[in-house]
Amino acid sequence: MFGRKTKTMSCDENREKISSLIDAELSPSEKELLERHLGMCAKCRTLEEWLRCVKEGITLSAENLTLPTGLRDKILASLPDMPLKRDPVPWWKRLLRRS
Amino acid sequence: MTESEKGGFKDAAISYLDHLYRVAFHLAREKADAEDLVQETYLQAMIHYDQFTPGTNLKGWLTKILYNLFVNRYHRNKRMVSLDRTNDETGASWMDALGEEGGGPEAAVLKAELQDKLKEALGGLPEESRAPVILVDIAGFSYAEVADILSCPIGTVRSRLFRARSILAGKLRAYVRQKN
Repeated sequence: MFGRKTKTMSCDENREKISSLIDAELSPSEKELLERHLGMCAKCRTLEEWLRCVKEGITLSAENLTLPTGLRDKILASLPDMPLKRDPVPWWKRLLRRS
Repeated sequence: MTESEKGGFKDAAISYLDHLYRVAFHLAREKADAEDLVQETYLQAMIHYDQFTPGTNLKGWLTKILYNLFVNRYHRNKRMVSLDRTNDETGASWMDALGEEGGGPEAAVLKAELQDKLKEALGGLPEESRAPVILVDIAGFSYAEVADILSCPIGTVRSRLFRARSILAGKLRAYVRQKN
């Protein structure tokens, strides 16, 4: 009757933490508690799937965005005189951009 | 900073050009504005390079310059719309229906068409919620780095990111359900 109270979480409490879980931004104890809840709650697991999907979709959608042609040279030309020691973009990457 | 260190700084800064352009493009949402933002960021970085501590987070330092330029130049005159006041249509209501009205996103959601929908929905978010999504999901920063770039507490990053993602997930889910 007066046994140790088990710490449980409500779905409302978990929602924000699910978002942090997918970014690996929870402490080990928070992660453990949340994962225990996710193991028991289908609703929160579905929410996790949707939030992961959004993160992956946003990441993938930006991967194809390429630097406009000429921007690098334009920027370098506009900077105060500080000579570059080397070109940080390998020659083969520059060649691919041109094609 | 010695002449050699200045050259090294410029080298290192230029290596983040692709990253800065991606962030600028998603913040400004216009190619020309993004180009101007990136160019101005490099100019400011070179002018103030002595304020950068070698060995610290150059990517974050440059992104902070870019974000501040964006806020001052492109965003100041726009009306701030707080997520706290947005309509519940895009807020938490869809999450309450989970489990009652069907399942998760499944693999189909990663199709190009849906990525376009997400991109469109991201562009429609208020800037205060769009920025954490861009900085975490596109730029790959940690919450602590984003808090530094946006000059706000980590808890704010956490909550804005969650609310932004829940809006995006709600829109995506509505789209998927409509298609099926």
